Amino acid sequence: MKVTYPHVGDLTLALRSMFGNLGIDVVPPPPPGMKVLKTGAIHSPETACLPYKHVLGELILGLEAGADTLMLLGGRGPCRFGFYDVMQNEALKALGYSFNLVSTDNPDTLRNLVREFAAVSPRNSLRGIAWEVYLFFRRVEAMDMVHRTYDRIVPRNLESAGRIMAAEKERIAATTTLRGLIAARKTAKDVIESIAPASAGRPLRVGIVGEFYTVLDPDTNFHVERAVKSFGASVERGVWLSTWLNDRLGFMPFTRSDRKRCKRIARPYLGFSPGGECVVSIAKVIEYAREGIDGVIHLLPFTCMPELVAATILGRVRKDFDIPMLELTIDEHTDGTAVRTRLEAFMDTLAWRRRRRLDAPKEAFPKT
Amino acid sequence: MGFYLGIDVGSISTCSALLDGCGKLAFASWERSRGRPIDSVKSALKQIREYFDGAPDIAATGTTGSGRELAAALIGADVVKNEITAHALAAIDYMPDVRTVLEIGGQDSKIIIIRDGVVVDFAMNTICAAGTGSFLDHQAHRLNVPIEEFGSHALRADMPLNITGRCTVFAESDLIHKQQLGHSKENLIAGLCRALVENYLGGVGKDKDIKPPIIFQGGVAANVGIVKAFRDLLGQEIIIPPRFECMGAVGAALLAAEAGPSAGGESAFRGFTVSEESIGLRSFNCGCCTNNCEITEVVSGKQVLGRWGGRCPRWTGRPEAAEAVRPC
Repeated sequence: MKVTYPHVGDLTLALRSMFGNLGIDVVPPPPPGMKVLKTGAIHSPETACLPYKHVLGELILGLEAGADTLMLLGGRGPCRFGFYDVMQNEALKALGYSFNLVSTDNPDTLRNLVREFAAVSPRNSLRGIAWEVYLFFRRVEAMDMVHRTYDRIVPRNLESAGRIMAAEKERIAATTTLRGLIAARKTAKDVIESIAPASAGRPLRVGIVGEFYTVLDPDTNFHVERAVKSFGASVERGVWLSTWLNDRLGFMPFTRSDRKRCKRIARPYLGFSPGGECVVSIAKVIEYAREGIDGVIHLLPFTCMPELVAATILGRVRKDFDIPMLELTIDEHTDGTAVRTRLEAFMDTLAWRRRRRLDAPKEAFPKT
Repeated sequence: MGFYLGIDVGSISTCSALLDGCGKLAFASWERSRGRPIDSVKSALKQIREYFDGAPDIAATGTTGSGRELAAALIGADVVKNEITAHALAAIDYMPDVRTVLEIGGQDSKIIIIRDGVVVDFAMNTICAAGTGSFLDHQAHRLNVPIEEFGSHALRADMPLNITGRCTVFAESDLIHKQQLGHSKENLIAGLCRALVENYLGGVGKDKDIKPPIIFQGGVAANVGIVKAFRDLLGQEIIIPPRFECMGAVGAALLAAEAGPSAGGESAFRGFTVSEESIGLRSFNCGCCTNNCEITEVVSGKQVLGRWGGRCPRWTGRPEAAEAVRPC
């Protein structure tokens, strides 16, 4: 039996090490790129959202490479993500593949996840499997921490800094014990923090919010984080894999749900959650504006329902809080040059605004 | 004191602007690219040389527009900037207290919001090209009206029609429908101008704080019908700079003047002889990963002037450096 799974940012790395430790044979997802997307897009409805096409492409290529079991993260949100597993099951059957589909949907609990791993793992101790699943989460969390630390610096040499971060993530993925993981996490933080910064000044800060997949996957979003950094700004990302996993599956019962917090912040604008990262996008922009972040980039796949709702509401948020925003809609037809042109103009705008704020006459003793 | 040269290579037209040492506009040219941007850049350089009766001394160069990378490789540019920043700079230079810039070019349209001489917000059309110059061109051709007279036809309308401007395809079929009902050309054109401006304001202009003074630039500003529609719908005076069609190039020249020569006091400008060089384009697929990016390179003789088209940095940067990473 061979398992394949979709690629989502660092999830691939974390899953690879967990499957390895569980003794599960895997066909790793193909390297992301146009081949995957085109394969998925051919067999998808044209207006299906981008992640659907991507995941379908990966599953097809995985099955072609010899996988017979598909593992999917299901949703149960009101958006189309909740139907990915159902739709993809049908689409792949119609293409004539035979496979076994395991989805963590319905109900979305950790117990369910552990049982499903037990079903595909040659190891039979439920406790052992549960521990591995827990370690998996801690690894994702550590990788997110590394990435967050990296996001906040503006390295002098982007390419080498990117390689250093990737190597640290690999080191975290290679750990097998909790103690080793905690040690690796600490070293990684020190290593990233010692990367030489581009300049001593206070860099511009740019928030990135939007749909889960488009924010997490650099190959999909035209490496927007790297591009922002190349303009000398630091990044504050609103969507994290560990937060998402914890909110849905409850790995850490005593950690407050970030989603609930976001709902509360977004309430003046939206009283319910239309699914996806809609409330998260709205809440993070409000938070960023209060924190004094210079500008926000909103990423959404073409036809993504929850983010379209968010985009409309964010039009009002940006006015209320006077925070510049750049909306980037992405699908398989999006042109990289168009993205870069807007990004460059946006970064110019942020630099100008910052300069204006610094040049503004300071009234230490305001006259009434 | 040398001149500052700005070149704006758009999808439809190529413009150049030359500022003298004091920042005054000394020369500007505009011509259609006709799908051959290399030839149009060469021709722009030729025009400058003819105008000055010899090659003027160039202190620094800047390029902008969708063909800015190509133009930069071709002429050797000190600054390469996006067209939004370039247009904003030119508008602020023309009118320091401008607060809104409307720009409609050949294939794109944008709106730039400026406060206290600083860009605070902008938008650019993403998927839809409705209301841009090339669509007006196409319709003018179909109605057999020279594009130069298109706007004045609209001003003579007694009863502008309602045309749907949501999408060029719908606009065209609606236009044909109304035309077959026997409406006059004047009313059709006036209706079209209004529909396109409505589309612009509801599209790129959505959620934007449009405040006077408003500058309208880009090739479409030549169309008095569109200008009138903007004036009517916004209820504001619309200001059109004298060289509205070359504002992108002026912005690029201003950027060059601000940044100065790139390499140790020497401009990267390759000289006016570029217009005589035989420039070739080659493209190949990278093949290093599944993206299989199409890499384009500009060559003059044996020398590679520039490469682009990759999603990763493998091929970008200096051509010599790119050569070093060729094997993957």
